[in-house]
Amino acid sequence: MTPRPPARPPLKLFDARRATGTLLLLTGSLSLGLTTLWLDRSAHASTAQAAVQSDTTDAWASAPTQSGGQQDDWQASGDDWTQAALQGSFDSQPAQSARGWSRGS
Amino acid sequence: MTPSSDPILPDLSLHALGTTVRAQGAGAFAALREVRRLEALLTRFRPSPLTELNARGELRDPPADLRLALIHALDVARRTRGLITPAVLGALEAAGYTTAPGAGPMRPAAPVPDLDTLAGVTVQDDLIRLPRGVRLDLGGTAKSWIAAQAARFLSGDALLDAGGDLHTQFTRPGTLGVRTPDGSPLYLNVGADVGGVATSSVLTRAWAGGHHLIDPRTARPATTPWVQVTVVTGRVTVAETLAKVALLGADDLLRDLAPPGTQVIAFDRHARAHAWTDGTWGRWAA
Repeated sequence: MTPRPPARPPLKLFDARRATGTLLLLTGSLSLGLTTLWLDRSAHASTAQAAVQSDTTDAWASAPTQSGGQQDDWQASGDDWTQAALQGSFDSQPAQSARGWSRGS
Repeated sequence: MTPSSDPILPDLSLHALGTTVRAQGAGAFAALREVRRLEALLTRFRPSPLTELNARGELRDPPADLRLALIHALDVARRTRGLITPAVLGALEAAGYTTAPGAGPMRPAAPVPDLDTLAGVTVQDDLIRLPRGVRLDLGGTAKSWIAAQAARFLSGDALLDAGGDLHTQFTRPGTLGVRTPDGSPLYLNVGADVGGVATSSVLTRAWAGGHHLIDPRTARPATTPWVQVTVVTGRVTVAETLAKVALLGADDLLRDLAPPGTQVIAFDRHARAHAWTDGTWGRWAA
């Protein structure tokens, strides 16, 4: 006498428990992925900012540029050719140590 | 960049524009970085947007700073009636100034395109186009233009020295020196103000049989009444132009263009100093 094979459970078209599990798994993976991406971007931004800061950390380089009344005055001039000449006089003696040298180059 | 030993005033220098460029004051680092950036756009001695423009005759979507530097050079050419023109590249190369002063063989003079031809240069936001036969060298105007642009990064009491073309913005009186042909002492004591000082010389960037200052009327290195001229005026760009105008002996043009109060001192071949006063030259003595 041949034993009868066990009866197959009826095929379910929709398994609520399995679907819920899959959904939770997908949601978790998506959340983890987005969190990782966000953290990675934040880290990159911080690194870039630090790099910029380290490039200009010197006191003179990080000083505000294009500010101050005098500088704005000369930058705002529309035509260099109408600007008043620098007041000064040639002399064989320096009034103080020379800050710069004009020369042909 | 080489920091100075001054612990208080930022004072940095680097080799650029074929010379030494120095920035002193707050923002010196950023100013020198700007010099490097602009040099890379405007040089003719290594591949750059300018060399591309010269090779093709046109450049689409050109860098904004190339457009501005070219507009400045064309403005100078117009004001100086074509005497200081960017269209001298062919003449410079024919005179032997190729990759370096005197590096090339001297060839027959290449005519310098005139102002009418330069009027055909197209400068637009998305295009620069040169008329046929026009190739540009911005060396006559770019040094001071770069100095002025880079100086925008300086604030407070500051100085930018582009190979002897000086942008000053002193908040207290100061002293500048002038390198004279014979080494005799010459100083310029100036007040607290913004200004420009520039020196042009045929003794530098010179080689056997030539130098870098082309006279567009002959398309050859200029025969000049002076060997060196220094100009003190309100802006370094104007000072550089006027120094070349004076060096070329264009006194009428100098008289027309020099803003009131401009000072000029020139040296002849015997290293004697002459000062420009009220539109005429006279021997200068301290």
